[in-house]
Amino acid sequence: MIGDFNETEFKKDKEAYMGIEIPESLERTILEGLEKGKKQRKRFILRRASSIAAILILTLMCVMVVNSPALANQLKRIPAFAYILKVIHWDKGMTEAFEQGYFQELGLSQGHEGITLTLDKLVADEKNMVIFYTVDNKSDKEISMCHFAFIDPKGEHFTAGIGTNGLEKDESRPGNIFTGRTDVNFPDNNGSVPESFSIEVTMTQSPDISYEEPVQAGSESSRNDNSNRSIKGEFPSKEKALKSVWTFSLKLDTEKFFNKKIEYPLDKIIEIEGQKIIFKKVIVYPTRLGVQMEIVKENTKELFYFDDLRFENEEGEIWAGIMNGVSGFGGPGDDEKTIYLQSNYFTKPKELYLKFSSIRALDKDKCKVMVDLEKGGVLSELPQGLRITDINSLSDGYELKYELENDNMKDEKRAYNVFYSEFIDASGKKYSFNHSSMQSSFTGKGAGAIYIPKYEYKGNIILTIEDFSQRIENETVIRVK
Amino acid sequence: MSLEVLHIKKSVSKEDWFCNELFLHKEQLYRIAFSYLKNEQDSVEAIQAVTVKAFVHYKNLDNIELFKTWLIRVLINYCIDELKRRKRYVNTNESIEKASLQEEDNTIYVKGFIERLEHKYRQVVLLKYFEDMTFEQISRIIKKSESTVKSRLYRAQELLKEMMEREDGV
Repeated sequence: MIGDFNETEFKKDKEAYMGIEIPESLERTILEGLEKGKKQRKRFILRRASSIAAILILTLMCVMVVNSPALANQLKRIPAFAYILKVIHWDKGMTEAFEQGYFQELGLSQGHEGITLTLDKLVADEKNMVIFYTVDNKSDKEISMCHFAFIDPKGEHFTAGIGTNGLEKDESRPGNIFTGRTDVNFPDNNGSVPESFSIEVTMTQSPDISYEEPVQAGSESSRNDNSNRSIKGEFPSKEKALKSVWTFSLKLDTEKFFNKKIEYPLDKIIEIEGQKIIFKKVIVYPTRLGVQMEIVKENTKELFYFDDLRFENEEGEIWAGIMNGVSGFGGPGDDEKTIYLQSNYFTKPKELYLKFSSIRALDKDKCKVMVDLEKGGVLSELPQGLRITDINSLSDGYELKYELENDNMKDEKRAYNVFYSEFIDASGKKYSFNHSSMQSSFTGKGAGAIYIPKYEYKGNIILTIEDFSQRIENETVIRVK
Repeated sequence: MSLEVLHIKKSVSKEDWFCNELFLHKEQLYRIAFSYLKNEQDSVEAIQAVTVKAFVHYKNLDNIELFKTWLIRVLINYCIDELKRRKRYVNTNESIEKASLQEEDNTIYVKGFIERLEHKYRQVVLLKYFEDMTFEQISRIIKKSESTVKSRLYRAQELLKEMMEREDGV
């Protein structure tokens, strides 16, 4: 206790502190806060990043939760696996990869500024790589994030999307130990994991405003004028980077990881409500499963997302799937699409079927929305259910608010991010916004807003609708194996 | 304990439970806010902002029994940010980095020696000795290990002792 030195002085401090007068209005303040909180609770925020990495993170966040208690218990007994198991608990394919010994021990450590970074284990195939790592922080800095850069032998950065989870404290170990994973994903048509490469890791300290909760797709978040300045078009970037760089050189165990993919050719044309899709093939890597397809150009509708694309085995059990829609490479209008799902490489079903029942879609001539930002007007006919309610000029951009009427039960818990982040002006020049917000559609009416940066646009801008609540429906089954 | 279980047990609505918790801790929250922001209006605003934030996010807490410590953490972070924001307004000609470097100069309310301590030491003294919190609770609030909390408190004691001795001309 502090009382072993001048306790009187200290007591005065405590008395002054405890004597702070509590205003009578405090309960009313809390009740008002509660009312504001209620209004904001249903609001969903999606922070849109235009990079492929962000799409991949969403893909990872959305993969189907498949629990395998027996496997988990088996692996839990091996101490080094404890944290990895926690990180991959939702990923049955990855859990099985570890059980099958499909990983490379790294054990590479480097320390700077009192912080030791250890790359523990790696799982890879030609297109994907996951590295599990540990941070032992003996410094007085709070580290929130490790940023990984991958450099090939030619000195070029990988063309892949790189997604890194925030650090998680490992409560099972003493000290300030944190764990994390980073995912590298190459698109099918651009680049692959090289045999050897170097990694440069930088770290950032916790943001100054750590009360700002991380926001993910599909998560609820608040919009408080006092606390969330991003609503005003400012993008809080308060992370402080450390000066040091943690560098590593790696050589992959290619014998273990490469030439493992299994391809199932499909070449099936499926027609739903007059819209055609050519399912080309399914490629199963140990870490990722891709369905390659071509959307036929002559279709009158733009096809957005499958509601329930999944693979089932001969017993009708889901072998691989995804929750809350499906993500893949390519923006709206791309004819060639690859949709990625969680892999289940190590489980070999006798028969395999690709199934889905509906695809979100909209007439192509309704997918472009022309907006006059200066006058705040909409110059296109909007699809039924969509209304642009407000266009506000802010100091550094424009806020475009919209509402979406939608009573489809399939959308009970879905908030629509209607507009694609890329848009053009009258000269055809491309721009992008990287911030948008959505409210859920629990009540049958969803609402959202996008924040368009201020530039010297030539004339009106044209936004593209990238997701909508209309659908084409048909129970579809394609035999894969 | 999950939130659902807790509510079933207590047979109160989530909203009532949330409100009760806020009312229960309101004085403590206000004192902490005031110790950072030093005026009634800003402190009341802080309580409201944190109420909104907490109402939107509290469902995501893994263990609802840690609600209070989480609430205090959210509040303290809000206050620190608010102080930084003020400095940025004041020092309009100075860089944000400079404002950020000055963060350590923010003073907590107390009038005596504790005010002279660095923020990270003042914070643990305030929570431990003024708010009578356990090391575990403080560790959760400031997101540091219990051993770090203890060593900070120990260091704070040493610094206070030195200051007091100097003051007494020892």
